[in-house]
Amino acid sequence: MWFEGAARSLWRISGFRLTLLGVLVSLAGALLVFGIVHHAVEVGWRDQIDERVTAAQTDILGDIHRNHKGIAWNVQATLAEGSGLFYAALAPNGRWQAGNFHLSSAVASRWSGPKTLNRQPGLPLPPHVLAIRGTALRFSNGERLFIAADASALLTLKSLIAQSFLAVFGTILALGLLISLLAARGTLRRVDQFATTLHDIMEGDLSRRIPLRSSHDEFDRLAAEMNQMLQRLQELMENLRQVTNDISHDLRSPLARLREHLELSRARFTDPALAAVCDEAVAQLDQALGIFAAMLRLAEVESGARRAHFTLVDLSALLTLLAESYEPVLAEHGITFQANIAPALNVHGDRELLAQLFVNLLDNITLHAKGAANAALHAGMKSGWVELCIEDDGCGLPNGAQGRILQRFVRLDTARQRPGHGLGLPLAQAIVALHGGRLSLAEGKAGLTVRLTLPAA
Amino acid sequence: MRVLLIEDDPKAAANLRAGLAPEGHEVEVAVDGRAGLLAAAAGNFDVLIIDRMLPGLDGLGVLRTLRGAGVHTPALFLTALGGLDDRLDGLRAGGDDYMVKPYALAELSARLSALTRRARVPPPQVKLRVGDLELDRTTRTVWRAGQKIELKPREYEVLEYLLRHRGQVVTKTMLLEDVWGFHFTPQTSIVEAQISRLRAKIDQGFAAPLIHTYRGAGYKLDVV
Repeated sequence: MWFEGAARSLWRISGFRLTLLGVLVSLAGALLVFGIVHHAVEVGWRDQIDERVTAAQTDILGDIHRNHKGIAWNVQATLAEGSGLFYAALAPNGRWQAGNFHLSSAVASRWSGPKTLNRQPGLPLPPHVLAIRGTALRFSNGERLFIAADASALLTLKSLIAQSFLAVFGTILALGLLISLLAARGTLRRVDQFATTLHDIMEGDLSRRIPLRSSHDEFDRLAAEMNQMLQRLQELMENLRQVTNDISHDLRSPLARLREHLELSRARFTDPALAAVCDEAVAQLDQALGIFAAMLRLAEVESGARRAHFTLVDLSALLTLLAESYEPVLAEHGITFQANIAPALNVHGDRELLAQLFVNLLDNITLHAKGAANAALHAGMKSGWVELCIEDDGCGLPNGAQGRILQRFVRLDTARQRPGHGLGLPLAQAIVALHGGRLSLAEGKAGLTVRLTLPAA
Repeated sequence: MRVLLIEDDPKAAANLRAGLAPEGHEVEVAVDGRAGLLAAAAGNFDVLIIDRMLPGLDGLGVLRTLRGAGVHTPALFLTALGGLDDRLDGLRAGGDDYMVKPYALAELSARLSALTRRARVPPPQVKLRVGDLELDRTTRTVWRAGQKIELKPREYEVLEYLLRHRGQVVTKTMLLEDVWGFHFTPQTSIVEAQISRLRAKIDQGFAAPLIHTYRGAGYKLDVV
């Protein structure tokens, strides 16, 4: 349920938990204070009432001793004087004899020591009296005398205390929850600011910084430190870019000139042996320049800056084009190629890089899948992701090579006789990561299976 | 062909001049952006070759200024800047083609021919012909000597590109860039594979072949 979910995500915020804990502690404190007050008030009032009742008891017992006129007569006499208390005299058989209140025998039998009795059936009381408190006296002849005082005030006071406690409790709880929520929202906002900024930076916008408030709180301190770190990071990336540019200019230019010289020289050679040497040199140079281009491309992809230029790419069309292009080449290698591409697969990305990704993976089959007879490309949608699978039934990878093959310049052909520069898979992986996808290698029944997922547009 | 080369590196300029001379191209060199701008605006050149990193005014600025001034001489960037964005920047500045150093002479030469021809030739017609081969661009059908030839989509695209450049050398890189839209070189020879399929369909069994291979350069579609 959304409510549970919201509560759980709220609970995860430390600010909310802390504030809520504070509220609970204050509530416990309030409860304790109210308990003490309640107890003190109750005891004070009870003692006062009990004193009045005891005094009245002593008076009436003294009178009975002196005049020997019986309990009923003395009760009537006391009432005639007007004492403000409640009296009831019962005969040994439980019959009411005298007094200003009635009580049933059931109530009478339960009434022994000092006791507070609320208005109840069997204890009719005047309308303004809510409760009485008093005691029972049993005489040797079996007669009973009940003397009690009006205890309505005690009851009213108790309910007043309870009400004010509930009001205070409710206020603290409501205010506490409100403050907790505000604190949580404040914390969440700051953390969200951090997260969005960091996300933007990961997306390739290195110039972003976490906004500071002038409050100099712990978040500001953290933000300031992180901003310094980001500044440093940006400088380092800038350096890297500069170095890359320098390399591409300073190193590529002389290599380019070398290639030009070789080509110009070759045109002058009439000796076929010399021309062959020249061709070989150019081929080697092109190989070196190819590694170079792959390295620069890898650096470019890993910087993440390409994300800023992403567009909608029709992956189905691109894959169809590639399948159509590789089918004849694979056929020349004696490999039957099958493509199973679902229509309308779209991703948000860079067409050129996505093309390079699949070209690298398909190149791997023509270059490295020794003994393969079949290869296949599957592409489909699964819950918001484009799932792709490129498989062959060739020699596969030796055990434990899956992780290593994704590293740069790693070539399983240790003699380095087959073509390749060990950058194809690392570049493929970097391109997949740039697009927010995943690439994994798995050995099929035979050969190698490359699985990859890309977020669908 | 009169070529203006805007390049600050004298050695690279000399090599390029020497390389293009045998093709009969006349190369004039400007050593910085400002000189290049003046020469291009004043002289009557068939094509411009512009380096991007130049002292003073850079290559992009030179071409932007020229295009702004209404100079529409075809221009090719020849530069060490080979990033994905660099190419886009070059084309946006008004470049007609973009080549990353190092370059192969044959490639450069083929592209220069394509550029200068593109400037002269009217937009392609509905029906393209070479010898007894005919391609209809509206129905996407191909006929040779009255015989209909079934082509797969990619084979058709390659053939149409060759026909539009008939009599010209078309390099593998040009095909990769213009037909496939790839600005990198796959390690697998996908272009050769399409060409050989295409050959099997349009040349095999006919008297004279139309697709000719130029070793180290590319292909040409023509009647010899």
